[in-house]
Parts: sequence; C-alpha cells; structure tokens
Amino acid sequence: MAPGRAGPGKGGRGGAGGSNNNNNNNRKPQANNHSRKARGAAAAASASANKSNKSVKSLANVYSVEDEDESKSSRRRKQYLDEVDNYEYNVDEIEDEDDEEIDSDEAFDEEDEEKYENFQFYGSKDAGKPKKSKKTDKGKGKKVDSEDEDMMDQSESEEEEESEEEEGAEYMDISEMLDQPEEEEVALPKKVKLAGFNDSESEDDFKFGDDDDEEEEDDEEDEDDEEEDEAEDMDEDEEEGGKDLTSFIDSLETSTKKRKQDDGSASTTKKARKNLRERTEAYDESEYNLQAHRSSAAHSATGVSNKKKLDILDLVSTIQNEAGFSSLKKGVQALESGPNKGKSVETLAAPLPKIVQDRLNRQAAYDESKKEVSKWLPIVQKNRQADHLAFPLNAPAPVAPSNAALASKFDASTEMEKEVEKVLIEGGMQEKKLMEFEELALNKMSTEEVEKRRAELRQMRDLMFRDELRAKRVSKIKSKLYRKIKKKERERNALTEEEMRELDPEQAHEERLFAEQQRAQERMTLKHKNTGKWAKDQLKHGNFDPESRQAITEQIERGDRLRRKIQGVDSDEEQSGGESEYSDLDDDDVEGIKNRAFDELAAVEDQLSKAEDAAKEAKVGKGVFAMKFMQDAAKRNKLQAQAQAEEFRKEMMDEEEEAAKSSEDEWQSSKKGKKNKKNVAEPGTVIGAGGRMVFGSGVEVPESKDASGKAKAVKMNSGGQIQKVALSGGHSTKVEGPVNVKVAGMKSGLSATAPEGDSDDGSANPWLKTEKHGQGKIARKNDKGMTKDSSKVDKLQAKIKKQKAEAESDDEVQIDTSSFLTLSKDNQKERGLHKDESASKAPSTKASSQQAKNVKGGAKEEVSVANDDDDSGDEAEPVMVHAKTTAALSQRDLVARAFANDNVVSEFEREKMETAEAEKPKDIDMTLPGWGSWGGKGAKKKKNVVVKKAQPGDGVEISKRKDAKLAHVIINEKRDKKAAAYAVNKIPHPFTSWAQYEDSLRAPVGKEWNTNATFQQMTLPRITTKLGKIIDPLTAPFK
Amino acid sequence: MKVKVLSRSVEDATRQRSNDIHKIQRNLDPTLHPFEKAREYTRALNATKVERMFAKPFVGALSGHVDGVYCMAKHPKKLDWLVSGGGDGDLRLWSLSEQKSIWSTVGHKAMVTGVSSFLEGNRFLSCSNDRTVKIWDPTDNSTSLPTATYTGKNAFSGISHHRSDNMFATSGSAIDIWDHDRAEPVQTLNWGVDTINTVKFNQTETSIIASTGSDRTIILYDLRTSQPITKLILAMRTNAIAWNPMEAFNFMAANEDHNIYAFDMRKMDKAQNVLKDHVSAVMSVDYSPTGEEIVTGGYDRTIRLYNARQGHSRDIYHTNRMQRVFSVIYTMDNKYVLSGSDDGNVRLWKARASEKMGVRDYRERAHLEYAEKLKEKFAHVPEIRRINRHRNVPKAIKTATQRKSIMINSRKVKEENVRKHTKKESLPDRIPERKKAIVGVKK
Repeated sequence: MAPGRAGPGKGGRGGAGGSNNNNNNNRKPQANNHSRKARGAAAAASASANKSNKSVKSLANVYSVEDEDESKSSRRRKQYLDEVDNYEYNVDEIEDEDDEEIDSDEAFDEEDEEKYENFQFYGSKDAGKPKKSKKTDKGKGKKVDSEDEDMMDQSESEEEEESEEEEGAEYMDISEMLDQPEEEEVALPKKVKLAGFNDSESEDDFKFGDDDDEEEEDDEEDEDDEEEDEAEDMDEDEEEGGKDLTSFIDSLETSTKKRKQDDGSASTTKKARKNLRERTEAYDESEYNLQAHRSSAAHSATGVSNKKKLDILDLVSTIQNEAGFSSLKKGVQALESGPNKGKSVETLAAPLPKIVQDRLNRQAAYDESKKEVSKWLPIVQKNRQADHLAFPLNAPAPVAPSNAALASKFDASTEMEKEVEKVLIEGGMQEKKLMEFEELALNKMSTEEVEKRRAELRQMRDLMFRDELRAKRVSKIKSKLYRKIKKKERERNALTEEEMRELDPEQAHEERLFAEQQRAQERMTLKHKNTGKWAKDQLKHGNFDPESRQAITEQIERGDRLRRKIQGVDSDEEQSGGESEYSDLDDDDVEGIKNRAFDELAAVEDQLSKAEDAAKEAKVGKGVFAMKFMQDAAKRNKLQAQAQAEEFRKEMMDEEEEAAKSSEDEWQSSKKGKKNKKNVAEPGTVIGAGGRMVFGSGVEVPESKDASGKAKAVKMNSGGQIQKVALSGGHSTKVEGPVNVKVAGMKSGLSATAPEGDSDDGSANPWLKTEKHGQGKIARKNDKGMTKDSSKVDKLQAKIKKQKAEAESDDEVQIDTSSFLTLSKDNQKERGLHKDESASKAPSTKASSQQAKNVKGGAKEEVSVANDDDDSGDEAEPVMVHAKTTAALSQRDLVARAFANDNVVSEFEREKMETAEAEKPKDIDMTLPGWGSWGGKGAKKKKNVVVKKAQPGDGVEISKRKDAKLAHVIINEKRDKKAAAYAVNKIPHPFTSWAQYEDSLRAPVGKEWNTNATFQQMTLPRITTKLGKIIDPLTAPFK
Repeated sequence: MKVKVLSRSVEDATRQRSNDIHKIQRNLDPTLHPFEKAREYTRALNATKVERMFAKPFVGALSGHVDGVYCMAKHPKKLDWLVSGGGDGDLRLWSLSEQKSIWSTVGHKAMVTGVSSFLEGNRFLSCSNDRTVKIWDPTDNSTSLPTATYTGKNAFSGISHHRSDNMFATSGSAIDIWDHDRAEPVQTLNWGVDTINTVKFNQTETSIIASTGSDRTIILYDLRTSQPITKLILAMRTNAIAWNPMEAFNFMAANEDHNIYAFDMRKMDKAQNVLKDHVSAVMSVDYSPTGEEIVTGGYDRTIRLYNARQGHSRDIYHTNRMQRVFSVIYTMDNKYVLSGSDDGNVRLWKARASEKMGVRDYRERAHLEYAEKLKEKFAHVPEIRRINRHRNVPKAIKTATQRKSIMINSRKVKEENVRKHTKKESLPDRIPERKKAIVGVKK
C-alpha cells in the first residue's frame, strides 16, 4: 500500500477509522503523540542504535517547520508529495541525517482548526463526536505508548538536528529531486483501500484516488493541514505496517529536511526546545555522561543546541589510537561511513493495533486457506461429473493375474492335466527343457554368432511388432473409399484365371470352385435382388439417406455382377425371363416369341377343349352356367375363339418378317399377356395389372364379338405416355368413392346402357381417351382393358399387333376433352339414367354411340362392368363422359373441374362452428318432466326448474378458442383426461427444451430393447456402495 | 407323417458351472417388442408404487437413556458402534447390530453436550456443561473412570476430534484446541465474545474448523495459521454444521429459520444451496459419507433426508413417539441413519426407506437397478411424481407446512405489490433466495 495516498484527505468523517488527533485543548501533546506513535515500536527497538532515534525525533520536527515562505514551500510541498512516492521506491538512497522534525503545533494552526472542524482524526478523544468504541480503545492505548517515547525524544531532538545540518552538503539538491521523473509516481497504486477497515461504514473513507492529490495541489493554503494529513497518514501506516511505512516516513522526513535546508533558517524556529538550552546541571562523570565531542562541537558552532548525544565515535574513539582492535575498527568504520549509512539503522515498524493486525492476519490466513482448499477442486469436480462412483473410492482394484503368473503356479491336478503334462515331458516340451536347449545352443556358438542371432531376432521382433501395429491401424480405417480402392488394387494384383491355370492348375481349380461356391451362396441369399424385407422397406418408404441408398445400389450392382458372371461362366442359352429384360432384343428373340406364341396358341386350344369339358361338367351342376342361354353363349364364345385363333395363325404366318421389329415395352406387354394367359387357367385368381378378382367359376368362356372388338382395341394400345396419364387417372379415381357407384351400377341396371370393355376404359379414365389414326379405340397401358372376357388369343394378338403398330407408326396421344360432359349427380339412383342421357347427349361422337351400341353381355358381365366402373365411379363428382373432339386441356384444369362443385370450405366452416358450439359452456336443464310433480287434469307446471349452470371451468367460449382467429384450423379444446395423466406440464428441471426431454424418454432401457451390456451400462446407478463397507472421507493425494 | 416338435437339449439350458451366466435367449427384433414407451412407463409406475409400499424405514429404537439424547457420535472405523450422550450426564455405547447398549456410565454431572470418537483405539471423548472433557475407554472393564479428564474454565458446548492427530477442539466461550497429553488447551481461538455452540473439524482438510455462535455467526478457523479466518453472520442462529466428507470446502449449516444452508467456505457471501421443508428449527445435520446426501433432525420432531444438491427433501421420517430430534447421524456405510431425540431414544432408520437390506443376487440387483432407472426416467410424469412424493405426515406437520406456505406466499405477494407501486428508480434489486439469510461476512 502506498502510504503517500493513505491519508484521510477528504475522508474526515470516519477519520482514519479513529480519532486520535488534535483538538484545541491538547493539541501539542497530541501532535507529538501521534507523530511519535508512528514510530513507537521503532523507537523502542532502536534503543541500542542511536541513529534510529534521530529519525524518530526528526519526525517530530516535521511539524516545527515555520512556513515563512508559504507560496514557495507549498509549491515544494506538492513536489514532496510526489517525492514521497518517489522515495518510497528509493529507500536506500535516503540517508539517516535527512530526517527532520516539524512541530505539529505549527503544522496545525487555528486556521486549519476551523477547516477541519468536522474531521475526526485518528486517536482524537473528542467525546462529542460519535466513534466506534474499538477505535477509541485503540487510541487510548496508543497514547499511553507514545508518551514514553515523547519523553525520550524530547531530550534528544535538538542535537540530532544539528548533526544533520552538518552533513547537509552531501544531500541531493532539491532541484534534482524535482526533476525526478513522474513515472515512479505512476507506479503507485491509484486507489488504495486499507484492508483493515472493512466495516461497511468506513470503507469509503479509505479509498483514495487521484482526487486527493489534485486537491492538494489546488489549494495551496492547505499545506499545513496537509502536513497534518501526512501525519495522520502515518497513523494509518501503522496499521499497514512493514517496510513501506518506514520508507515513507523516511522519505517524508527527508523532504522536510530538504526544505529546511533551502530556507536556511533551520535554527530560528525551535522555540520549544530553547528551554533545554538553559539547563546547567553538571553531569556526573560516568559512562552515561560521556561527552559527545564531535557533535557537541558542531552544535556549538551553529549554536543550535547544547544537548549532547552519544555517537558511536564517542564510545569507540579511544580505540582508534590504540593498536589492535583492527576488526572492531573496521566494523565501526562500516557503521559510520559509506554511502549506505542509513541502511544499517533502518527502523522497525510500529506494531499495528491488535484488532487491525488480527484482521489483516485473518485475511491473509483466509486467502491461504482458500488456496489450500482449492486444491481439492479438480477432485471434487471429477467426482461431481462422474457418471458412476463406486464407494469406497480408493478401494484397491482386484489384480488380474497374468498368464505367466498363472503358468508359474500351475500344478497339474486332474487326470487329464497330468496326462498332458506327461506327454509334454516325454516330448521334451517342458518350459525348463526348452530353456536349457536354447542355452545349450547358444553355448555352442561364438559370441559374434550369438550377437548376430540376437540382433536378427530383435530385428524380426521389431518388424513383427511394427507390422502388427500397422495392421491394427489399417484395420481400424473405416473409410469405404479406402476399402474400395484397396479391393480394386487387390483385384488388379490378383492373377487372372488363365494365368493361374498356367501356373498352378490345381490351385486354379480350387479357386474356381471357391468362386463358384461364393456365387452359389450369393444366389441363395438373394441379397442382390432387392427382394429382401429391408430393401423393400427402404424402397417403399423412400428412405433416402445416403447410406441406405448406397447399400441398395450396391445390392443392385452385386446382382448385376452376379448375373454377368453367370452368363460369362455358363454359356447356357437358358435365360430367365428377368434376365432377358436386360439383353437387347434381336431377331432371334422375336423368332422365339413367335414360336412361343404358337405354342401358346396350341395351349389355348387345348384349354378350350378342356373348357368345353368343364362346361359339360357344369351342366351336371346347377347355377347360372347350367342354364341354357349360358351354355349357348359359351358355345358361341368357343367358336369365336377358335376362329380367332385360326385367323391369328394366318396372320402370323403372313407377317412373319414384319414381326422382327419390336421394342422393350412391347416385350413387356407380351410378358404380361403371357401372365394373363396363365391366370386364365386358374379360376378365381387375379387377372392383369388391374388386379380384380374374377367372380364366378374359373372362367371359361368369354369369347364374343365384343371380345374381338376388344382385341382390336388392344391392338391399338400404345406405350409410355399413356401409362402416365392412366396413372393420374387412377389417382383421381382413388379420391372418389367407388363403393356407392358399384351399388348404383347394380341397382340402376347400368348394364343395359353402360358400355363394357372398351367403353369401360372410357369411364375409368374419362379424360384420357386417346385417339390413334382415326380409330376410336381405347388405349390402355395396363391390361385393364383385358377384362376377363377377353380371351388369351386376343391378348396374344394384341401383343403382336402392338409390336407391329409400334414399328409402323409413331404414336400421337391426344386427350379429348371437348366431349366431356359434366353431370350433376345428386341422386345416385338416377345415375344410370343420367349416363344414358349423357351418352345420347353426345351425338357428335361416333365412338360414344358405338359404345352404346356395343353393350352386350349377361349378368356376369354386368357385374364386371360395375366393377370396372369403380375406377371411374364417383358419387359427388360429375361424371366425365367421353366425346370425341380434339381440344386438349391441361391436367390441372381437369382436376379443377372435377372438384368444381365440391364445397369443402363451407363444409369445413360448418364443422368448425359445430365443434365450437359443442365445446362452449352450456347450462344444462336438469328437470325431468313429470318427475316429482303431479300429473293429470289441472296439474300445474312445475315452477322451480333445475338448471345446472355452466361452471367457470366448463368448456371454452367461442371467442376464447385457440382457433378463433385461425381460419383453416380446428383445435381440439377438449381436455383429454387420460392423456393428461401422461402429459408433463412444464419442462422438468435439468432439461432446457421439450425436445431434450422427449429425447431422454425416447430410448427404452429394458432388456427387451437392448443388449445385455447396454442394459447394464444404462441401469448402473450413479453411486454404488458396498454393504458393510466403511466409506472414509477423502484423503488428499496431494499431501 | 412327420411331426415337428420343439426340442431343447437340457445341456443347452444348463449351466456347467455355478459361475456361468444363465443363458437367456432373446430376440431383439423391435417388432417383437412393441410399445416400448408405454410398457416402460407402466413398469416405472409399478416400481414407484412398489417402492412406496415397501417404504418402511424404521429399523428399531435403542432405548436406555433416561433423559433426552442430545449428542451422538459414530466411530470412524466401526460400523457397529454408536456413542450417545444424555441430558442427565449419561453416556452410552450402543451396538447397532444387536440394537442394545453395550456400555454405559454416568460420566458427567450435567448435560452431555458433545461426544466424539476418534480413530485411535476404542476410546471416545465427551464434554459437558460441568466444565469437563473426558476420555473414555469402554473396552477397559477394570474401571468405570475416564481415561483422562480435562477441566475448562467454562461450560463446554461441543466437541470435535481431529481426524488423525491427537488433538480435539471444544467450544464454549471460545474455541479451545486440546492435545491429549496436555491438561490445558494448546490454543484458544476467539473472535467476538458470544458463546459458541458447536465446533466441527473438517475431516478432509483437517486443519480447518467451523463453529457456530449464538450471535448468529458461523466462524471458520485454520489451525495452520492458528486463527479464525472468516465470520459469516446469518439472519438467525445456526444450530449445527456438517462438513462434506468428499468436498473439502463445502459444509451444511442447519439454521434456526427452518432451512439448511450449503456453503462453500471460499465464497461465504452466498449460500450454494438452500434446503427447505422443515417446519421448525433444524437442530442437527449430517452428511452421508458419499457426500451426496444429508440427513437433518428438526425441532418439528421429524427427520428429513435431502439430496445435498436439491432444494427439497426426498424423504421424511417420523414416528408417533419421537420427540424433538437433537442429533442425527448417517452411518459410515451410507445405509442407515440414526437419530437421537428428546424422548431419550436413539432410533435406527434405513437411509433409503424401501431398500432391501442384505445380499442380493445378480438378477435381483439388475431388476432393482432397472426399476430405479425407470423411476428416474419417468419421474416427471404427473402420476409417478404424485405417487413418489406422497407421504403421510403427522397432522401437526401437515398443518404447519400449509400455514408456512401461506405465509411465504403472502410475503411474496406483498413484496410484489410493493415493487409494483414503487418508482422504477428506487426499486431495490431483488435479493436472491440464496442471499436472503445472509447478513454479512466479516473479515
């Protein structure tokens, strides 16, 4: 702490935490008191060393300086204050003799008295002012102490002064001092807080800033007061203790002294001391009354004081003249002279008042303890953050025995062990024996050899070790890219099969077998086919995270590779249908198709005959098929089919060359055709991609005119574009409800009017009619058109014709919209009628009229029609009836039209209103009519009607609904009591967001969902203790 | 015809050695275990219910004291031992496993205010209002006299032994540090003039002592520098102090204002935690040896158990006959809690009310740990929270709790109202709960 700043300055109120200083009555003694008090202990301690006394006295003299030249001195004073800071850091340079005294009487005069009226100086005993009792006590104690010192000092002060005067020449010039750079002052802490006084009241008083200094500079008149302040500073410095204080005081004294020198009137102001000069007692001749010859001479010369003071020379001068005592002389010299004369006699600080000292000690001790205790912090933090703590903490861990340890202790005990041991011994494989053998082998070798061998071994070991490390490192690499590159590299490096065969046929054979096995395995696993559950799931749910996608592509790739391999290895011509998809079609394939087509034809004929048999059988039974007209129809169909088959065969023969051209799509469709054919054979199974069930028995039949017409229609089928549209059409049908339509169809005898077959398709996708080369045939990608009554022959024909058609022409697909008519269909029963009408209302279209004409078929066909109608069937939506014009409309417009009359918004609003009404608070009339009242003639109506009023918590006012201002939302305001039992109201403490909390609940802990290891890990409690084990308090590892 | 049957070989299902684990065939396919959250919730709910059903914390009462039991001490190395001092100067040594007194003497002419045992041997110390401190050796059957007696100038109010050295501290008019071998205190520590109620050695940082004074202060001392280091003044008196055995700088102060305050001796200007729930003065407090929990005994005739880092108690123990609890102790194995009360009984409680004591096999342990984990996981779900928190408490406690909460609420409301009607400029800062009780720190 900087003593220079520690003066109470402005802080008069608390007055240095005490008030020990002047008041009018006892000013002088007080001043002496406190000035000496600062040195109390120092004085006591310096009893042996005279020089220290000087400083003490000089301090007292600080106040005796007469301020003759006020302005001058005040200016200097400013500098002194600066110098004070300066000297604080240059203690060593201050010489003892620089010390001076100033009289407090002068220092604090009446003028100041007025000014500092309100000030409470440290140690002042003014009872009128409020003080802290402790402080007062301290002050009293002080006074008693300092009185003794007073007595001592008074007698000595004058002499001292003179001696100092003498040596004045040696001192540094004041101007030099003034020139001292200010940076030293800067080094001083700006704000000083006396640690001792931390009572909240007084705290402020001890904060000193630059303001104090500035103030001092400002009012020059206050210099004396400031002297006083400085003196008080010293009082406080006592509390501070230590070297700082001493150095400060020294510097203070020095500066005072300097000023005095400048004034050149040092001797004029010692009124108080003059009395002493008049003393005339004779001294007894004793060691206590030695003449201080040197100093006395000096003093007499200046006439300042008669008072003699013992000097070290007084005591030892006699020695100087004598021989011997050389060491003593040297010692004396050292004491006496030299640049650092003052150093050896530095005074000790006065002990601080106990209470202050204690406080300081406590603080220091507290800091120390804090530091000591903080050493635990890392341990504490570690324990607090630990996921698991097993108490007792410092329990020694069980040691896992090493293999060597186990082996050394091993003793064969069981039969088998003994036997094994015996065998080992017989084989000379005992550990000891091996060692011996090694040793013997070594013995035989020369030292160089041994060393060489050792080096070799070492190298080997080293290499092995490194390799092991490398392998470990490499095996840890997870990068897929790396693995891929590695694999490729391996493959590149691997020998080709042929090379292998040349080199080592046996090996090559083995390798090949292995490869075969691998392939077989892979084929068996079917992993590459994307038919696995996982793969399906991934595809279905469109899981597009890169990893799974990569996995899927990898699978596909593998499948490809495998297929290629198989083709490469087995040059078998037999290829599965699936594979053919991948190979380009060529003439051979078409040839193959044709061949197959003929085969199929044969098969169909076969089946027809079978169907005939079946029909015969059916005759025996009852039901629709047993009826005559059905049988007739069947016969007719059969004949037609046969005719068609013949026709087809002819066609085939004619167009053999043309059929060479084909495309993939057609191929596919042919495949489908095949499928359908197969399906026909099985009763009650799914036919075609439409996936509709076949109703009734296993389908014999339907070969009819319309079937042939159908065949033609199919002929005109075209590819991709249509498929797309058809799909979207399918979508639209999905939105609409099919069920009712079915019923309607059944009820209203739609069968009579509704077209079947191709017209079905029209209604299924009303706006998707395609026109192709002026032929109003229905194109449909999926073989929806291939209803069950279209025969296999048709399909086959269709297939091949389609191929042809494709080859011949590029298709233009146009969507016909102008012919669509909107029908309002409020009454479903009228639907059939409407349809009829609509059909007739579209006179411009040939096709529609044809469709109308086309209608044929029995009850069964009706059903099928109805079914087909499902696709297009819609209850609330207008039915699009196809008419043939060429204008095209965008899909969106179509959809917009489709939903034109569909008032969703108003419906929604109505629903919202209803909900709000239902949920608003309501009064409930609890009266039961007739209950508790008389009935009969003349009975009065019951007066008090019991109405249960709506409780405040019941329901939600419409205006207060959460969705009141949200147009498109209905928020359910009903409190679900069951759900409330599981709902947490607010985010629980350690969590900061709902998401976080939800996360904590997400992962199940139980064994059903986790592996055993995870389960154990998750359920391990944070703290485990052992039963009956004492848990000792922590012991410090750092002690 | 081939008939398929399930066949399991006995060998597969049998352990070869007793150390082998039981093989349990499990299919971790998640589709086989649906509704995991719902199922786990149900399990958690059941576990909570079962826990409450099995919550029977009271193990037994050790009766023998004629007057109330005002101080107790555990032995640092013997789980079985407990020393207690009665209001009539009676000293008793208990065997907890046998639940009976194995040694007793009327050691003092006045109330025994403190007992303390220490590492070395089987001896223990007692201090009393009769101005004596005595060392007793219960294993020495030849005499019923104390091994050593130290006489002080004033009555002693508390005693605490150093963890390892032959040194103990007594409180009274000042803190006296005694050596076993000296008749006079080696050291006297004083700061202020008021009576000091308790003194406690820090068991981890062994040179630090804490004491509480009747002038509402808590004073810390450091024996290395032989002086007090800091003084904390609270709004009300502190009755007991417990140092955290695992965290050298933390301690708990049981206060007269129904709360327990957790302090960090490095930062005394603020409590680290305020543990509430008692409805009367807290008379004693003790840390669990793990440093994670505390047990407190209150003037409201209840014992409460807290997680040291939470604000409210996790359990409350009470019996019909138990009077005001003046001393509580957590046993050194973290399993039991002991209480000494005005009615002259020492009571033994389980530290966790529903814990099954004794050895548990692996599966049982795994099951309980799982249940514990689930309870923790779903602790915030209302139903489970409600069941978990539910306690049957004496009517007096219940009403007192209600009344207290009303009072606190009204105070809060009032404060808020005042704030509402105060100018913004003159609005005082809100005082955090953790600072409310603190008057100041003296240096």
